Amino acid sequence: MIKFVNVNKWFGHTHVLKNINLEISKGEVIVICGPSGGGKSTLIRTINKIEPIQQGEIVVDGISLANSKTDVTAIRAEIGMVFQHFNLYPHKTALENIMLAPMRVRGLNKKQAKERALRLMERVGLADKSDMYPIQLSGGEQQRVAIARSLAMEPKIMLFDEPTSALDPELISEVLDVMTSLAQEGITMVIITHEMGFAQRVADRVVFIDKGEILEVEKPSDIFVNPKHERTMEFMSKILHIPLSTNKK
Amino acid sequence: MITGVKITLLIAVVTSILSLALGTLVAVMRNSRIRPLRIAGRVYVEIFRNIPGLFWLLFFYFVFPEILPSGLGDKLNAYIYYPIVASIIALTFDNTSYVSDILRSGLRGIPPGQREAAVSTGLSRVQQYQYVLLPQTFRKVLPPLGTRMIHNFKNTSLCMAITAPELMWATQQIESLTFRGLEATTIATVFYVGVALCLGAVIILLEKHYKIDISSITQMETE
Amino acid sequence: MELLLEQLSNWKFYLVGAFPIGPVGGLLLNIVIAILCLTISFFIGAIFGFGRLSCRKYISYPCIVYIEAIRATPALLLVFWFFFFIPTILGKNISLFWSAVISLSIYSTAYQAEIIRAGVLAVPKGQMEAALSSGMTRFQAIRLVILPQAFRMMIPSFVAFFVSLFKETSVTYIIGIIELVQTGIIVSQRQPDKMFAAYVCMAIGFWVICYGMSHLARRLERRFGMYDLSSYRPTICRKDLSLAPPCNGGKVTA
Repeated sequence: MIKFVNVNKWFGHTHVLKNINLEISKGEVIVICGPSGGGKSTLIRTINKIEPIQQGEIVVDGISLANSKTDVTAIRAEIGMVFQHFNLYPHKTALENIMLAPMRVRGLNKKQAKERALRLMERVGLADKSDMYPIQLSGGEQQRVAIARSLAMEPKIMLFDEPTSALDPELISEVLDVMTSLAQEGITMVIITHEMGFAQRVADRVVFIDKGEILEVEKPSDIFVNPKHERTMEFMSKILHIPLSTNKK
Repeated sequence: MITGVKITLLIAVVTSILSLALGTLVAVMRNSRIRPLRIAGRVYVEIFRNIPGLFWLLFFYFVFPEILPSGLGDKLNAYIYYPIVASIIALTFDNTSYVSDILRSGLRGIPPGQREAAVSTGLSRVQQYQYVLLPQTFRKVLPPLGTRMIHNFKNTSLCMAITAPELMWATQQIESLTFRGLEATTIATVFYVGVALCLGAVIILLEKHYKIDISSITQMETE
Repeated sequence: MELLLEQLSNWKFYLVGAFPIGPVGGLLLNIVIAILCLTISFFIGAIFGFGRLSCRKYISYPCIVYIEAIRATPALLLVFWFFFFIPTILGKNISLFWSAVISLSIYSTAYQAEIIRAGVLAVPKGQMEAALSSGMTRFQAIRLVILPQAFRMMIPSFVAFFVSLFKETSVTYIIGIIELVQTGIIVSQRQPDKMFAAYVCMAIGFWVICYGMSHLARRLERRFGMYDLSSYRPTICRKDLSLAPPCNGGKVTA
């Protein structure tokens, strides 16, 4: 579904993504983790070309992003993105936030868009808050509306950039529940998160990135317990607050 | 014309310095615990901000000598340099109101923890302001303050209305005497634009030196 | 008491000038000029403001030059240019009123352009990302998401600028327009005993309008103001940012 081939990216002189090679199959749930500034956000933003790359190729659903003839806008409509700071449109109600893109991009009329939006609000558990403005909603509610907004385009791929990092601890679980149910539906998901319990339960594979390089790609059961790379082990032990010993096999 | 430039610069510099001093005083007054001082400061600012500088120029030149007891008033009127003095007084008062407003919002923007820290080390109120609050304020509000000073410089052009012999007045004299007003006005324009742009560049340099957040340049200075 | 009333007997003159006998004047004229200039310069200022924001240097540099040049000149100088010299250059005669309006409009286009620019830059960057990532084109994103938010934030700045412009219109008295300041001067010259009252009336006239509008601006600022100052950024053009229009050819597509 998503393929990275020798992807390299620079911000000015800084080499932020180094020789990324990764394949994500359809329906897979990938969790990306790693220290701050390691390149996780940048990597996920290259998938829908919000950040361009200088070298290498990214193929999404069979279409290469590097091809200049590619209609990036059309591809972006098939990919949904959820941001750390929600980025809801403050001048529209929750329902209007969800309705905007289907109406303007897919050409739905107002009635159809509203039906779809209401269905999605129910799905994320916020049907009664449809006419509220983002400023009136709590962080967890805003993020769930943001998830509904990206689902409104019925995307094939969902990208999550640290969706729970800006939330109060109590509100995290409601968002994670929505994400878990999405994963069970079989949609391809790429998630950046520090919630390792969630990753353990839901992820098919975990990718560890540091300083722009992918250091390890493993199943969650392996990477948390038996990390092969020393840096991974250092990171995991700090995050999980458990001292791990080097695996010398 | 050269005298015009000199007088313009004189008025601009003197009013800037005076209004900075006076403005600081008013800003501190508005921040004080003594209610009458606060009210006095507020009244002053409201009066001078809502009435254009031109009015104050005319006021101080025409009306002020009349208000004073007759001996003093006549002496003022007879004083050759009175237009310049009146301009300086009027522009200072006008500029002070804006400067004090800028400083006051800067003062309020300083985290209260700073004041607490100063108090807890035993500094008196005056010392607090002198060593802790005001230096920080000036650094923070340097961009809008600089913009205001540039505006003050441009306002000196209004002084021609009360016959202060500054640059605009000089160009008008040239126009009426020699009909070569176009060249004179062009030179005057170049002078104003040049100085204003230079001052702007100085502000940006100062900001870089003091490492102030450059994004505050884009903040619209509302009068 | 009669003395007071007698002193203030010219109030109608201050307010509306020689109207209805002659053309509109006084305080009303100030207001009219200010509103006229504000509306004219809004549209032109918007053009320059968006031009300033453009990533294409051949558009943004001329806009920067224009805006900075106008902002650096005193309003009086601009008014003089238009009254004395432009007619001779263009060969046409412009009426007093229109030369004042045109020159002050040009003066305010520069400031309006800056307001618009600040408003657009104050919209958080994440909004554009969110809009683009749901498949909208740049144009749709700007029209539906960025501009509504930007204009909402600009409103208090516009009102505050109106106050500033209103005060600036007093400058036109020097070329002979009979607005509030001129009416006061005329009265104090013809009836020197009423000079003090004239000045008081002038002051009241200005004060009432300015204070009222400033009050309105403050209330609007509280409702709509640009609070999130941390999201201010000097430019939206970053070389690698694909959210900007094609800045450096080749690699970047929107």
